[in-house]
Amino acid sequence: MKELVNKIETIVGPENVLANESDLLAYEFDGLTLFSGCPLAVALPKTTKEISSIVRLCREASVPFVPRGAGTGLSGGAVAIEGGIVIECQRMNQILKIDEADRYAVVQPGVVNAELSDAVGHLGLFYAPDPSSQQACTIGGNVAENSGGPHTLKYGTTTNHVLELELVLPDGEIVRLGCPAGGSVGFDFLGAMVGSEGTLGIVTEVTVRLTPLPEKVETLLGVFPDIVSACRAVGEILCSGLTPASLEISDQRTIRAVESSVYAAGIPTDAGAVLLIELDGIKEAVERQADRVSEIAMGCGASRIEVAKDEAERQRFWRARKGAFGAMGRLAPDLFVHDAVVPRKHLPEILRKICEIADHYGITLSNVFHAGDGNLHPNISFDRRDPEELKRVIAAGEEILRLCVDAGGVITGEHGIGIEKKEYLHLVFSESDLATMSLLRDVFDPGRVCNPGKIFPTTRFCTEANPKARGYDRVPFS
Amino acid sequence: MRRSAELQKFIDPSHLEDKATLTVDGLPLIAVASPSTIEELSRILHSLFENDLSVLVTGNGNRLHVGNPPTRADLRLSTLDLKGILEFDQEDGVIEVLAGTPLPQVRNVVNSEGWELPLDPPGNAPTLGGSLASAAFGPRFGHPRDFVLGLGMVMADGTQTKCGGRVIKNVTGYDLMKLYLGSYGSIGVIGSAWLRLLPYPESKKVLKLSFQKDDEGFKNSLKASRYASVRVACLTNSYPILETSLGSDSMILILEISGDEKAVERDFNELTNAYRADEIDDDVLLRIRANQNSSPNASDSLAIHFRVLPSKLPVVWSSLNELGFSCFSYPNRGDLFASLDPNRLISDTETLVSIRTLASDSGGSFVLERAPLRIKREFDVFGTDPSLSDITSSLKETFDPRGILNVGRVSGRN
Repeated sequence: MKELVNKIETIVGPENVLANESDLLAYEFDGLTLFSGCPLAVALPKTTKEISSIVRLCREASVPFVPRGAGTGLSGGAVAIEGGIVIECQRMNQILKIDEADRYAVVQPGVVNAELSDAVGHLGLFYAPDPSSQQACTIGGNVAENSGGPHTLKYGTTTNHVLELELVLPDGEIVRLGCPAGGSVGFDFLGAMVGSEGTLGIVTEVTVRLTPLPEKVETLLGVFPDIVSACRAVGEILCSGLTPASLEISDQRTIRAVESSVYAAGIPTDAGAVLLIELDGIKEAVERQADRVSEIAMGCGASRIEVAKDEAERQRFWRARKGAFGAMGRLAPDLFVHDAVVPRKHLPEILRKICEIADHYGITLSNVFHAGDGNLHPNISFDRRDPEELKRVIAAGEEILRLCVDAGGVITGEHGIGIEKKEYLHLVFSESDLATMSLLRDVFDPGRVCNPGKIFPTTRFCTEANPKARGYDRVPFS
Repeated sequence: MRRSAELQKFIDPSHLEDKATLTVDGLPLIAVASPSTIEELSRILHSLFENDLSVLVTGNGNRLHVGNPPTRADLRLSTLDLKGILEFDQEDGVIEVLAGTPLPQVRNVVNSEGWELPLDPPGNAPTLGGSLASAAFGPRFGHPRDFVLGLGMVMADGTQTKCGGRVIKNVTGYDLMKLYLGSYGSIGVIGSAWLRLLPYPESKKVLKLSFQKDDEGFKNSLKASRYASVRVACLTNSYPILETSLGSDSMILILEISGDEKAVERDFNELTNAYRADEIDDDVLLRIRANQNSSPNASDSLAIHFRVLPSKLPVVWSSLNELGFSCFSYPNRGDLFASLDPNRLISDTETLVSIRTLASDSGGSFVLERAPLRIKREFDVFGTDPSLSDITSSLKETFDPRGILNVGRVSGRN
């Protein structure tokens, strides 16, 4: 293996390879700290050709490789669970082209999501997918995970905004999929590539659609006595024919964590839930829609509606929402961010049952989620040094996923399957469904060297809450 | 070509019959299998797979002119009896529909509940399955990929599988849906689909704007077609759409603006102030849609669908005019449809190669949607990027290992 690392050093230069133990520690996890895997080495390439050469070397040596962006993923997708070489793309961080007339940009995979919108804002354009980690996560990672964000409800996820990809296939070939004008001729490989969690190839260049900035944005914060009435308001707003840009709910535990943190936004801590509503579009329409939304929310039991007076206040509202995960660090040393989607009409009932599950297992659970999409994030605060608590956390999480699937939902809306949920995939898909997915893997990566150990279950039908079966017993307790 | 009598030992005779010969690019088909449930579809495909019999899968036949000539097909597999709405969730605005259901039927059901079906392909009662399999679209909504939430598939060997789901946000497993949409039934047969619906717009207006056919005219027409409430933008100088002749130096932009009443009102006022614009009857939208299908009965005509960067439309349009094509476009999406009268037909494929290059140089793509058989035999109507030909063939071989589904029809003649 030393020989392989030496060869990689000749490709990217020794200064762009990390192989000592202390350097590799930073790569043992991604945003999900429940799983660890130490790579053999980390390569930091700067060009597509370098990635292609590294991939060819790995393939020849039958050593797996794992593409990685900023490592902000929440399902363990960038963890080298089977060892091998991590290929980190953060140094490929250039915006290569901005085309104002045809509204697209060409970027390298290491460009940070928010930086692209910053770069095109003066042209009256923005890049619509906005995951909560957008200040850190990279567009290459967003493509791998088909990232969403709070504005998915109106603007869609990453797959709706990617026009063309350059990628290195698991055999080292460099190909381009799609075209800047959008659309595809022949099989839509580009569509299948987005969200494939880095298991079918490594993205080395991305052409994305740029969206015109809305003329007017109105942000409202509805204060509700409980989460059920907030959910009811979401349903009624959407049934009224409106499509807000965002509909985000935070429950009381989240509000309290936020209000006692640096993200405090002045939300009353006795509120049962808050609903953040963002409307955008043509000025006259947005103003009228804001009135309608306020009326609906009040009719559903909101005690008051605050409308952001200016951009500073809008940012204050959003700080409370986007800072929620950070604020939860105050509740316990560890946070397990779940991610599931249910049909929206079931939100009130599902949330009530989730609370019952939390009570049953005696765990600390808070909810902050994309209500308009039905995309739940039940967050469990815990201490992984307590094995007994860890067991309860896992069991509760599994029960929540089952609940969501039974209601017609799925087990992930934006975080991906990764390592975290691969043993739960059978809750949604049959053996035949999974076998068909596996056919696609066969086409691109028959040798299973590209990001192995992700997505596909290894212990089908083994669903009991067994930390050992899921590898949680390997979590370091320090 | 086989007759039903020859196939009765493989397929339940109650789902099998001989019909008037349907000839697809020179291949005659008589026997038709018509399952009415997913299970029947599964059983039929399993039997065909086991006995190495190949099929051409059809809905209502609106897109049969698109594709390379089939290289083999023992019978036709029609989805027309596989019809019905399985579930309509009016609260969440999603619907599950069987593949053979005609879209007008679905549209009527959802419209009555305040929702809109975001599929508007041209043709005579296009089916859901046929529209999705051929990625057919119309002037309003574009490619169906943004509106399909889940698919129930039957694979070549009869195995029933699903991908996606019924919720509007989902990254659970590979997105196989994208591969099936536009794959013309070559790697699996669509049995059913979950679709996302859109709220029915509160207000609609249709406008006709006049422009000179020059760079300034193209520029202004693109600007007008990018107003926020524009849903349909069609740039044309075509007689069938306008029902009136225009000078060769003139173009008409037809816009449908829709959505919030106040937004429509404001855009209407701004557009009528900024351009020579008149409000017109919305019948024109039906003619636009029909024209997109480019002389469906003229088997010897030639029709191309381009997708190019909007800023490149003038150069592509002019180049095509010089070759004798008549054109119309959805400029905000970069779609351009070009057709050539049979008596001005291009006789050499070199010209088609140069037109394809024009499309790729314009940041886009090209599909030869209609052409005489002799041209289709020489020229891959989809074309294949040489760097993707191995993957394309591999996908076909992996998903359809015995080569029984719509053989030869798709990219690379797979």
